[in-house]
This record gives sequence, structure tokens and C-alpha cells, in this order.
Amino acid sequence: MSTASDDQDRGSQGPRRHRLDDLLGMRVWFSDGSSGDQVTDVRLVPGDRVRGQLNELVTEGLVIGRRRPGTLFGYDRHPHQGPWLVGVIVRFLHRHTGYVEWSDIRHIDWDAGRIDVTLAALRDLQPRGEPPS
Amino acid sequence: MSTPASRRPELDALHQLLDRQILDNDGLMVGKVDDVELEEREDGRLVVTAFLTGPGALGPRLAGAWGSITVRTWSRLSGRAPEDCTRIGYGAVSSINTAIHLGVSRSSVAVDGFETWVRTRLIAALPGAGKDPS
Repeated sequence: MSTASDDQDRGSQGPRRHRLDDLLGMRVWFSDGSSGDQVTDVRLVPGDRVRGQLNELVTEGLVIGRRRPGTLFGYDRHPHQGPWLVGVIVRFLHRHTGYVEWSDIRHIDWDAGRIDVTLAALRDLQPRGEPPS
Repeated sequence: MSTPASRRPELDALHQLLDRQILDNDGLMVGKVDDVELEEREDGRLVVTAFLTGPGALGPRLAGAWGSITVRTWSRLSGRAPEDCTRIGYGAVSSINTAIHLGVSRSSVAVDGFETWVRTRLIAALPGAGKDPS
């Protein structure tokens, strides 16, 4: 995967740094040239390296959706979480939400706010694992 | 839709990191996570390198003029560049749950710049400041 269009400062100033807020809201473009929804969350996993007392947190994928009010309130994590009616409503509001694994990303244009992926459609959003302690 | 292959322990950055309270090793409040700094690795993935806090980090998240005013005001009062917001390195973090717990003291991460400015430039300038009330 390649990242960014203006990499001219990468060599002289070390790795490029970004803000989470820059990634949130970026629009996804599929392999067939069609545009999808926006990045609504960034999924992280513990990496192999230890920084200080914890394993580093590395990007695993992107949650893509339509920026509905609120979040999934954990209903993506526990599909049978109650109250049942709230779960139904939240899942209905977020029915277009899907997932892109980081390995699916072909290019991120940080200036244009555009992410090109190798997929033709979003993956299903699977329940998360337990967060790292 | 296809299905992701791996199901490792995960957390969602917006849902579980952003706007969380930061506590130091004595349980004292340090600030909120207003943004997260991500660094590009050689394999193209991004890694969390710091939590950003304070008006300089929050401003860019606010839309339009409010964000710009927030950052410019903070920059003017703190004497720092607009992009040089307060940064707490990931190495200082000891655990992440409902809050971000640091393994260091509040004073060592220097997040009270505005409080210091108000104390030295405004409070100390008031008539009678510094005198023992007794």
C-alpha cells in the first residue's frame, strides 16, 4: 500500500505523522471506481513491539459508514446485547456500515481525504475481540 | 460482502480512545484525549505514538471558524506554534480501559501551560496577590 501524495519530506524528517481526526471522515473509493461512505472509526490491535509498558497499537482496519448520530454503542461487539429493541434500532441505523481491512487499502491520499481500496464492496463488520488490557 | 479473516483483541480508536480521561500515576486528572497521533510504519500501517490534548489538539476537530479561533487563541496565549499541541507519548501510558492511565506524574507531561499562564500573568498581577491573607 502506498500512502500520501506529498512524500517529499519523508526521508529528511523521518516517518510521517498524522492525526486520527485526519483519517476519520475520509471517503472510500472502491476498485471499480465508485465511491463509498466515510471512515467512522479506526480499529487497532496490539502490535509486537512494546512501547513503554504496553504493546504498541497498530491499525487493523477501518469501519466505514454514513456517520449516523452516535456510535454502535457496543451492539457490534455483542450482537445479542439488550435491550432487544435498542439493538434493532441501532443496527438498522447502521445497516450500511461495513469494514475494510488495512491490507485492502491500496492508497491513502491525506491531502484529498481519499482512500482507494482493492475491494469492490465493504466487508461485513464482525464483532470486535476484547480490548487489550 | 466477504468476511475478515482475523479476530484478535481490538479496540476502536474513536469509540475507546478519543475524549477519554487521562489520569496520572496518582489518579489525578491530566486532560482529555482530544486527538491521537499516528505514525506511518514501513509496512504502511499506522501506529499510535501519542495522545494529543488541549485546545491545540481539539481545535482542528471543531468545524469552521470555531476551530480556527480556538487554535489561534491557544497558540497566542501559550506562545507555541498552532501545530505544536500538547503531546503525551504512548510510552508514558500504563493501561487503557475506561480511562487512559499514565505511569508518570501529571507534572512530568507539562499539560498545565494555560493554567500556569493565568496564574503568573493574571492572578499574580492583581493587587494584593502573593500576600499572606492572615
